[in-house]
Amino acid sequence: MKKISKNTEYAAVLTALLACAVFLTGWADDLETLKEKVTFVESIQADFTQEKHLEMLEQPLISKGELYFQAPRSLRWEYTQPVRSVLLMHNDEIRRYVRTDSGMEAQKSRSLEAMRVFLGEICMWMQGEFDANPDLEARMKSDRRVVLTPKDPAMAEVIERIELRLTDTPGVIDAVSIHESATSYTDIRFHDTKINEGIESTVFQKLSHGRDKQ
Amino acid sequence: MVRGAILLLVCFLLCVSGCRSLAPIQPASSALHADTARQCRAHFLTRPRQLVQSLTAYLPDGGVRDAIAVIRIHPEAGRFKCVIMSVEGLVLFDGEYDGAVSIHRAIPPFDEKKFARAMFADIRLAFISPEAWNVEVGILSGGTPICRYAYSDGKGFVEVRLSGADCLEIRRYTGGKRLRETVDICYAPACSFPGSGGAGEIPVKIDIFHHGLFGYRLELKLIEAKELPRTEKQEG
Repeated sequence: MKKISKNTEYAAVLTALLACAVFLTGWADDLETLKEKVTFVESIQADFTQEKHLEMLEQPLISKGELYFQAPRSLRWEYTQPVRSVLLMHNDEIRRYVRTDSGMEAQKSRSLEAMRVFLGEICMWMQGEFDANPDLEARMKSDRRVVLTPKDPAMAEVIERIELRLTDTPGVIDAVSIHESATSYTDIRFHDTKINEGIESTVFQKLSHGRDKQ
Repeated sequence: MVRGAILLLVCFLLCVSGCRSLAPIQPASSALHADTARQCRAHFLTRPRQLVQSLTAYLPDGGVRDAIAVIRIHPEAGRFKCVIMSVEGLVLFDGEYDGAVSIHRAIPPFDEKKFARAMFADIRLAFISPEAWNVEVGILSGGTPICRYAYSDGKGFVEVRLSGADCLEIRRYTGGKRLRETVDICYAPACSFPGSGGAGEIPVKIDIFHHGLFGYRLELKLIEAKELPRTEKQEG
């Protein structure tokens, strides 16, 4: 088997980080107002349930996990079921841990280094600047949805569109839908969301931390 | 000088990885012979199945990657469909085999037919009974019951070694009797995810070892298994 390409790594992280970024988007009438609403958010933690829908699956494949975010650029995106996988981002350092026979093992830093390029864009999203990315067209819908559509046809072949469903509480969203095609999409629903409750920095730096639920 | 040393090293490694041969098979009693033949056949699927498995790839460079695979197997037709996605849900590969490889969607490097062919060959080796012109049944010198299938086209051999109560080993050799792949199969609940129990007639853990200079290992752990109707229409 060949190595998974850097583009694939980008897309996977992009998916996870984008889902995190949208937490910073409180309800607003337009994208400009939306940016102003996010300035009070310092940290976010939430559980999430991910449903992967495929044409060949009668029932979606369900994954569960936890999200931690600390402004400006610290993130922990962790899957706990059915396969444990942990993505850590703290300042400029990115680490990803994969389950192996001998426990959780860090992926080689070489394969993660290229992700750094994307961090600049992700940071823009963290600031609620969804329209700052020239590769994505962002539209605010009247039903509290933000729809992001890739402008680049090559990227559109991978991700057709991303829909962010906002709640009426600023800084909290209900769900993210990532559509790859008409029959393949991923729904991520967030729950037990906590804003600005403070998160220890070790959460973003160590595989195991004081908040482990397992 | 350096080139010569490298050449020698390559020749040595090729020899080390290629100079294996088939172990001699000793005859078994008629009862053991019949039981071994039955157990070898019993491993391979006879009914269509859909499996969802976690996939961990241990790559030649020492790297580790994880993914989730959804596989549909129609053993009677030799037809397979497979979707591989990242843990985050991004579809990396969507393709099928029905006499020929078709790729519906793939992100590089998964878009190469070489990858798809290797993957479907792995699925066939692990789940489908070999189309053999001859099956030799017996025991190895250590007492392990074995079925050795010889391909009718002379392209090699497949062995099923009944190495334990809840496990077996499949080996594929080239026509030159060089070991190419080893598949360790475990049915025991102890091999499955904690608390998931196991799935009876479907292996809960499969380890596929590709041997050679750039060998790699694929570990598959069962998440869920489902029987499919035999009359299912061909998927597009």
